[in-house]
Amino acid sequence: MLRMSGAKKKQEAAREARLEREAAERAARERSKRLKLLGGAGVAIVAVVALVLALGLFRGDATENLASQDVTVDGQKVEVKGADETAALYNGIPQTGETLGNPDAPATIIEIADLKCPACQMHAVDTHPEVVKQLVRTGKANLKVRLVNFRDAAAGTTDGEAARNAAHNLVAQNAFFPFVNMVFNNQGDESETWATDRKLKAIAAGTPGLGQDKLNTADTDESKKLTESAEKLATALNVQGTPSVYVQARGTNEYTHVPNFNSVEDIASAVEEASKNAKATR
Amino acid sequence: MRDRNLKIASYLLAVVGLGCAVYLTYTKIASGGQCLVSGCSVVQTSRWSEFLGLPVTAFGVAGYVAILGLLTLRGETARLLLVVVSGVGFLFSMYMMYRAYITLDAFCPFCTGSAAAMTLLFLISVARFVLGPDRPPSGPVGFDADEEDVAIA
Repeated sequence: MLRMSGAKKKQEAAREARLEREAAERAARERSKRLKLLGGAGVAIVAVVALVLALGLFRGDATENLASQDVTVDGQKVEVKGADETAALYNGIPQTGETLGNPDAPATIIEIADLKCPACQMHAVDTHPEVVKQLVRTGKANLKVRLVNFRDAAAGTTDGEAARNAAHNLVAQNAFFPFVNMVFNNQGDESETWATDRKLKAIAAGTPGLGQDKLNTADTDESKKLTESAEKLATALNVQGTPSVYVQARGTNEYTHVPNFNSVEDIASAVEEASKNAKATR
Repeated sequence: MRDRNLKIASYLLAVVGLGCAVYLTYTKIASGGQCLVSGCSVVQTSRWSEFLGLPVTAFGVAGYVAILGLLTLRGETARLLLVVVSGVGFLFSMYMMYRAYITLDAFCPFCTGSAAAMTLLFLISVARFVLGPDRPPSGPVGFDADEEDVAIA
């Protein structure tokens, strides 16, 4: 009897060991299956998102509807966009140095922008034309664009400075606004060096009323002065990002920040308010 | 219990995310993207606020509704689908956060809230899928605590 009971115990222990081993094997198989499925899910997730982003199904690129034309730079054809739109936008509006529109308008809209910032491009293509049409052309306000350069430092590039110099050197020729608008129309990737001499020449060649021979990317006394003035204003207003839009009542040093720079209505409201506080012209 | 707690947390996160997405969709439709916070308005009026001609946040609403629906289902497939749906939402949210913070330099608390909820939902969904359902100490592999509840009821 004792010998039989010992054999039974042995059998029972072997059975338990087998069950445990089988359970462990099952668990391992289960885990392996889950991890394989998870890997597959990971691939599917990345594929779906990559496909969606690659198809570019967001609202159209700001410049996709702009007319394009070819210009010749150093014997090569280069495509530039938005010349027709730029010509139509500023046609007949006085430009006095950095000021677009009636210099005696009751309010001044100040756009602080960076030529390499994509949000500035969106603003320039989507909102700026409406601001010009509704507020500047009608004489309700004039407009100043003050150029800062935040992106170069962030991206480790230097071409933004060349583009800014070129724009500032055109202030004296009253060609600042169309050139700046054309730079935004033809802006490249913010993290890349795209504002090369060749590209800026092409933009100048495509800018209505300008030409590539008028392009000067050197840091001149004029450009230095305008750069310092723009940066001083940005520091005084504690500008944290671009674009930033402010409205100033004529003859005052009061600046009203318009937080939603893409809202023409908000800018118009700020202009209306500022106009009430405008000082009389001398 | 562990799986049940994670599931409850998922429900809460999905409701928070859904709230953010519904608010953003409402402001986009009702006021063209003007919301309570200026950074939010900047994001909501940018080109990345519309996808296939619809407010991008509407896809967020659909995602959260799908997640809530999947949370009510049992089984391995539902858990895997939760990983996939929340994973797509998570990666997409990260892209939108990049656009908001880096490209637009704008802080949108509702977008950030939704992205945070989606991120946590994804992590929890992965954990729930890898760990599997709750099992009693002597229960068979694959035993789902939810099924026990139904049987007891």
